[in-house]
Amino acid sequence: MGKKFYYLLLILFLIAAPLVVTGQYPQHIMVMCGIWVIASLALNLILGYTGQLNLAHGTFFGIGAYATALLVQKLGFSFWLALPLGCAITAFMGFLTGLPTLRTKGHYFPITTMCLGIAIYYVIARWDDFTGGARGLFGLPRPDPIPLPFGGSISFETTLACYYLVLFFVFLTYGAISRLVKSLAGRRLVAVRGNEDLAQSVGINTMQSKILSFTISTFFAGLAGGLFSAYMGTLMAEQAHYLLSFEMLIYVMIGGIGTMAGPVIGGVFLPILGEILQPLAGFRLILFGLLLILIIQFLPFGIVGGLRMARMRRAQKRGAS
Amino acid sequence: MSGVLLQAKGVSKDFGGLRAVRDLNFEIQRGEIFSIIGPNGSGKTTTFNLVTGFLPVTGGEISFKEDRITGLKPFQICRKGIARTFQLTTLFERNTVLENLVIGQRATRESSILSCILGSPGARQKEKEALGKAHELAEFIGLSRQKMIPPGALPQGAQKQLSIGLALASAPELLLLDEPVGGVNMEEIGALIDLITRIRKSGTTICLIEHKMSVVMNISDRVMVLSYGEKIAEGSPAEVSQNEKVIKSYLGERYAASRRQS
Repeated sequence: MGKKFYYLLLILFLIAAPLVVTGQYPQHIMVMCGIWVIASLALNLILGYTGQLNLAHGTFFGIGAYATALLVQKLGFSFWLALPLGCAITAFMGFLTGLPTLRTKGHYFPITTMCLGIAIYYVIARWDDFTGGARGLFGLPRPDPIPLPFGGSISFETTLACYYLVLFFVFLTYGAISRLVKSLAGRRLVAVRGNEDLAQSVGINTMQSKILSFTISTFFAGLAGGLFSAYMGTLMAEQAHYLLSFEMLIYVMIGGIGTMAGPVIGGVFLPILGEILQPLAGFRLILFGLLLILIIQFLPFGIVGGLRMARMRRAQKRGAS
Repeated sequence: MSGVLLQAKGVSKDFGGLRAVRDLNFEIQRGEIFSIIGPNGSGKTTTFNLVTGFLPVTGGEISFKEDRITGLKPFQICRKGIARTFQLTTLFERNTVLENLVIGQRATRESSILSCILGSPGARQKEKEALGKAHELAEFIGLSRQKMIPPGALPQGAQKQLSIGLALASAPELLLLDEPVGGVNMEEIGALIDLITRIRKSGTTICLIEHKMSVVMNISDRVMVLSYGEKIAEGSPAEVSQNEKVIKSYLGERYAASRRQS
């Protein structure tokens, strides 16, 4: 009961937050945090729960962004049709990529996915006719207004409206992934992370489990990308840059790998920290590096893992006294 | 019900130039405890790996319930009804004892991802049933008081019990145990032997690899002896323990010779 109460409080806080934080710039940061949270939750499914380090996650974010934007701009699709289609295209690309790459073991999966990420980045950056090349895409419209049954409509011209739009998809992504990993089907993924041979020995088709996890993960990466493109209104090849994968990796690692709250904490606080440290320019990367080393050394399961350890120790102390 | 459950015909396995298993023929009868013994490196674990599909055979054929299973993947062989444990006890370390017993079940591999995300009533019902079955299994393997702890916190003997429970969770007809009492103390051995005999009583056929002769000779119906990848003897524990070749391979030529003279 206690836990449900805190969840409810958190949801109410997130809904009420922009009423307190009214500035254009802080609200923009909040929208961006929501988008990073979706992307990090997705990465955590394949990385944290299935144990496969995908270094092309940022690329799938970019594919989702470009797919959605191109569907709107070149084919004149409504955003509400382009977004699910963009997710589906990204997931299909993920599925195709997964078929050969997920067969590899050990370090080869991160290496192959990273190479793929670099290759796709250059395709996007050079294919002038299709993706706009290095110049990128401009003038992407915001999502079409949703008409309300009793007249009027919800428009997404303001940052505030976009915040609620992204927040809705954060809840959706969180709900879907947390339900999945706690369910029987999700235990297949966790079994693959634990020990592939053992998983096979109890009848789990490990290859199929990995591909499913990867496809779902890339689907939500595409969702984050699609939302990003419509919110920003412009897309540049940088949004599919392979270094983006490492940024998301850091969010997940520092927040807490293999936990539901981890990517949320990482995806909210690290971008905010980045903005606060903006005056330091390049030096903030040094700070991030230091932070990452400290976390890996002392909190291998991130902030959430650290909190859990502290709680267990407290419980043990109480039990002992 | 009696009859042949598993049959191996002319099975061999080469690792490069090394022939680990040579033209092996054997049958496992329904309902029995069949033991494989032999010195280190005689091909016992390799035989398990060939039966369960973890290694491809170089030659020969293995059939289960008259169905050819050579060439199938390990998970497919498990689905046919053969489960196994590993020599080095392996468990899902980051899950609790109870969760381990859930992962092993058929319901886990058959649940649809979509119905789990949507939280359909059918998926919830399946989950409830799987949890109930895991509780029963924990009781059966004697770990009902340790359900909520991670396997790493269990003593060696209890980890062995759990690894057997994990294999049992898939409801196999044939259970392969690779050194079920290896590296555990005398007290724990008692609990494991008790568990193995109860499994057999419940109708599951068992094939085991073991080095502790006292265990093998007490619980097995039939024993097969391997040496350098070849079968050198097969029969009841009493027959096998009197076999000249077996004594030679275990205790050496000189001991066998001195035994002949006396």
